[in-house]
Amino acid sequence: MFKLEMNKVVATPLEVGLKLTKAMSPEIENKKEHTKKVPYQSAIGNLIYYMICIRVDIAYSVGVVSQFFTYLKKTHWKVVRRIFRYLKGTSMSRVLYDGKRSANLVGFANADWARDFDSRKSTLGHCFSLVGGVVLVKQETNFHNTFINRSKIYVFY
Amino acid sequence: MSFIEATKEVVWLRKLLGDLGYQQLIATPLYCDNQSAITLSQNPKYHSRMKHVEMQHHYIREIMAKGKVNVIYCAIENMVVDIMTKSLPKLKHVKSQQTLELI
Repeated sequence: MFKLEMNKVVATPLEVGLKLTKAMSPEIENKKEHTKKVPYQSAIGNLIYYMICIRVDIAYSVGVVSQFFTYLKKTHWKVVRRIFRYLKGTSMSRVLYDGKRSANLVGFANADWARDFDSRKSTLGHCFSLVGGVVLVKQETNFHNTFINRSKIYVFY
Repeated sequence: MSFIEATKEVVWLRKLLGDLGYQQLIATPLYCDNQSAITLSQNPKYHSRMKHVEMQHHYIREIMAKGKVNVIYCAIENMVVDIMTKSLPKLKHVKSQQTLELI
């Protein structure tokens, strides 16, 4: 559907140090036409489906690309394709819940201050695992409106 | 904020698991890499530099006092939940996946 058969697989869903903004490099008009044709929303819809089911490792990447529905450029579409290439390469991975392991919850919490380059909003993420598998994940790329330019410790605490 | 959000989830998950018959007998370990946030959560002293933090965000102290959450410092290079907030290089990505048991 997204013409990804010929693409090489990659090991990570996003490039390191990738900066996606609403105003990426200015595109010429005929390239804008190109981005109108790509099934961006449909692709992200598919990614969200995978993410919710088992592939929680792409949660951050999906959170990033789903901010650009109205400011779509070719760069953003390339990033979405990269996520698909990553999924293609790791399609055999799965979550294993092992009943023999202890049923104690373990949690991890993290934040990133002003990660979003347009709005200077922060990113939150936490996840919990139980009997050897992840049970709950929360990732918020633009944590809500009051969250701009507050102190770093506030975001973490 | 990330801490508080995680604490709320801990409270909810512990209750849910308790109802399902998996009573959580020990305090849930919660790993975090920000030492100032951990210190703040453990120390009930009044911090004049933290006066911009609303009262509701000090809920974590209440939960820790009840013995439901145990906040543990985790060095930044071992902070595996970076996978939720950053784009990571390959090795770190794989390590995060394995430690969090995402795959």
